[in-house]
Amino acid sequence: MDDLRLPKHKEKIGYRGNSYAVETEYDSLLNRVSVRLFKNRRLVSSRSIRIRDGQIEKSTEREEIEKIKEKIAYYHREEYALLISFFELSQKLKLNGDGPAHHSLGLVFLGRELLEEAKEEFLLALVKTPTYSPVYNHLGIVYLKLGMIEESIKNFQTALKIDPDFADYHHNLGTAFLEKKSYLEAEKEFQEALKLNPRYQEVYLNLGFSCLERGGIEGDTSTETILKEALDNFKKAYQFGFKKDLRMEELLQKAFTWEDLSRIYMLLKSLLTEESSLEIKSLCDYFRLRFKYDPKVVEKKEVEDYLLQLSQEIVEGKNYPDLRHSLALAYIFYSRYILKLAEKQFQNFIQLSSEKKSGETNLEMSRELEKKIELYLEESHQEV
Amino acid sequence: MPTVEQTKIDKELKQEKEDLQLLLEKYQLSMISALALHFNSAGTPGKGVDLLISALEKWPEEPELYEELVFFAIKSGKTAEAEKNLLEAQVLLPEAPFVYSSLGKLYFLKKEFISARELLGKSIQLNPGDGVNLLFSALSSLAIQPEDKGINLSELPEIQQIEKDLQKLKELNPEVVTDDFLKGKELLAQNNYTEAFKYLGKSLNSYLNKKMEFTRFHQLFFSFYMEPEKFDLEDLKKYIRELEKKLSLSMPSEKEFNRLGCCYILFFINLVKSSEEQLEKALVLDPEFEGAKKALGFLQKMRNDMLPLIDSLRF
Repeated sequence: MDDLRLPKHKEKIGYRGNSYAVETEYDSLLNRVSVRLFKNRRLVSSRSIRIRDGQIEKSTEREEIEKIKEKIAYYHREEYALLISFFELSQKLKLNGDGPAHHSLGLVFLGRELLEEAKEEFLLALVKTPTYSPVYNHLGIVYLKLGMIEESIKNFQTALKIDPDFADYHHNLGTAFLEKKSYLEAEKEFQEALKLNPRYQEVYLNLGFSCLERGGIEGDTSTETILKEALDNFKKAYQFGFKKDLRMEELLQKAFTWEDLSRIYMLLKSLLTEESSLEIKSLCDYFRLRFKYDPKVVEKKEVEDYLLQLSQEIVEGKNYPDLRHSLALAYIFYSRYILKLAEKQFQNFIQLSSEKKSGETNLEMSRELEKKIELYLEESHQEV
Repeated sequence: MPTVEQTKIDKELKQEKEDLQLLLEKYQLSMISALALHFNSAGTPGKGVDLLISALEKWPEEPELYEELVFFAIKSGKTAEAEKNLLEAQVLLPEAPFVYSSLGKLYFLKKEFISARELLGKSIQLNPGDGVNLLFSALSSLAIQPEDKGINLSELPEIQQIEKDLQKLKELNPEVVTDDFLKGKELLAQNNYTEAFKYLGKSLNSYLNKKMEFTRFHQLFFSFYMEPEKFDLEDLKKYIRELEKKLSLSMPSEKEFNRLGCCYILFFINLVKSSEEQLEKALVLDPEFEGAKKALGFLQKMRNDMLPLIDSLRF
């Protein structure tokens, strides 16, 4: 790799007094392309994309290297275009966005860790839909990430007042208490979450962590019981996870000390982060918004790439109902382009053929289909 | 008292008729046409004739059905049935050029050239824009020229008309113009009528064979409707890519534009189907997922509204 230089891309954009930058480069250690997003020179989020199976070496063929360069440039352009489009959407929603639309855009920003921008959208959403519990929940997450724990707790509690049976809200409130080091209150919320969803992996992990923290503080005769409680919770977190790992199973068998359990926690946490669906969910929200507010501007190629990405996520094991739902909507949105292509061909046929009747029947049919699709999309947009 | 053998044949015939009725009820016009082509390619053009005769009761004004009926009747030897139906259609639709044209073609293929020329002439009069009729008519005229070597045929108005018609055909239906056609035209100019007939006949045959071919395009629709388990979406995508490439490189026949359009519609149907599958999978994962339930409800309603539209597709 020493002599092999792959270009690093960097582009900046200013928006409402802030400076944003996207940097894209090949990371030879990870053998992946890293796309990083900066705000006012501070790294806010990054994603890494695997672009080939083997390492790129000096011996890699020139043609292959050119392809890799193209890919890096492509991911860079894509991220930069996305960022611009987020801001454009934000402007558009200020004019005619409803509560759920602001909420979705907030999630898009949250997916990129643009917390202030997310907060602004969630607050706008609350002005328009003050009793929509998910907004309070996500606003709670933003405050938690900003370190504003009391604000975060208040928002999770409001969400729970509106919808008390959401395991996610109890879990998030528990996490905020955990951050505040109010372990007993945290554990109470985690237990509530488990009552509603007894297979909630992340709750077991955090419950175990809370026990571990308590064990570390108390350090007396009760420690052994607390550590056992932590271990039991970690075992359940592992049991309800997606990936199986022999090394982890061995560790869980032999774990005994506080240090062993801390190690297990870190490993489980990293496994869970790997499986995190926040980024793809935020992309889904972004496209749902564009399908609604930008339908004429969204290009066919963009939707093709989006469809490909969603399919890949599913193949890689992210089998969530939301993802399937988004894929379903993307298929229908994409079908509009296909109908347009069909119409064009039928028009060509009518122009050239003496059998105009067949072409006209087909053209009329595809136009009718298009009307039905538009109606369907309109109905779907009510859900955004 | 019918024999056991006769009863068995009657039963089989009844069953076949019922099967054909089922096909007619189930499929739209274009698919019936494709099915007839399929029967022909499978070596059973007679079945195609039966299907087309039944289809004509349902769609009496579809030119393609008449034309296919003629060609499969010749191939299967069921010309009497075809002729009977065409004569009945002539009474019912006295102003329909395609009925005269089909009858004329049938007579031509049966080598009844005088009747052929008369009927084709009537069709050309009603619809001068169909160049293929001109070729059939020209060949009929050539076939009935006197063989008296002492006469200079080139001076006959019929021969001059043939030359004019062939020139017009070149403009109207360039897809018929092959090397054989050009050679035939050249031989005609040299007054070599027997050889001209042979070569022009060859060009007509290759055109007809192409027209009656059960192509990859038909296969795609056939498997989509009749054998969905064999339908291969990747194959459809590949075929679309090939057609797109072909259309971008050369000036294709008009039919290919329509075919590409139809393939896009088939792809569209698959996208709607895929969308429905994804919503069903979402509901398997979370049966209480309200958004997916609603979307699936809309989609199923939309699909039901779409089906009759898609059935009108003409390929």
